[in-house]
Amino acid sequence: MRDKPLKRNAARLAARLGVLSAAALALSWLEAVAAPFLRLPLGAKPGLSNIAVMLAAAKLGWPYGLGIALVKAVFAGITRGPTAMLLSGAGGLLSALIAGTLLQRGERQAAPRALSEVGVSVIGGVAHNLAQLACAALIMQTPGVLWSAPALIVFGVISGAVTGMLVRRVGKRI
Amino acid sequence: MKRGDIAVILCLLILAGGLLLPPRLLPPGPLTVYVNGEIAMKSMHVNGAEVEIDGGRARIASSPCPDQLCVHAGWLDKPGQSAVCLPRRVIVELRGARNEVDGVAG
Repeated sequence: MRDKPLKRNAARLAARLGVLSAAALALSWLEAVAAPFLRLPLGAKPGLSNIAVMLAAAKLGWPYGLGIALVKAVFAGITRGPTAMLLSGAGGLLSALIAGTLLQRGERQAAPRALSEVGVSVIGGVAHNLAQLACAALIMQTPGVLWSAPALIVFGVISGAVTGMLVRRVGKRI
Repeated sequence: MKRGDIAVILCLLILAGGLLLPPRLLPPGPLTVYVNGEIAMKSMHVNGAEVEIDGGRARIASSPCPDQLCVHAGWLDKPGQSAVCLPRRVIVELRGARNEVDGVAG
């Protein structure tokens, strides 16, 4: 009476990817709406949509995390233009790779890992912001924007810690 | 939170603090305004954005870009500060004395 495992897994994977993509886009939209009220300098955002990227990378594997990051970048391109797409893509893909490798390797290891979701998310958040900054420096053809690196590292640590805690809470339930 | 998490956070915050130092170590001196890498002496329009220069300070007064981040950066009056408008490709920077010498040499 049981479904064939392969078929069932494929359907489950498709459903999970769909839910995570939808969550990523809804959170991106929410942040875009909230950003003018938060008035963070340098266009910094809380990065809540990366919860979906991290969950996909941790639970399904890093290629799926990359996929969700790509969906986010295309969404940014449609709603906010090519510059936003490039910046979103640079940050999202790098942080998805980092989260995927660090979290997945940890789950396969027998020994307890050194970092929890919070530490991985902090590294991902800082890498995300620095990748965007490097992209901005390339677009502007000047290293002048690199002066904002310290502020972006601090923002990355804060938003990474918050999203990491949320990933941990949500991750236990799915 | 694990001990490793706290170590990662501390290392990154120390790195950010360390990166804040170099601009502060530059000797104080006359500030030069650079617009898209070139020395600017008076207010001008670049790619549709309005760059206002007033003595040793500068700002992007208005820009047709959607997010207005460059305008919100406000007045720049310390060496190393910059206002950047990515959509319109405008960067306004303030550089101190040492940077100026580098600019001439390079």
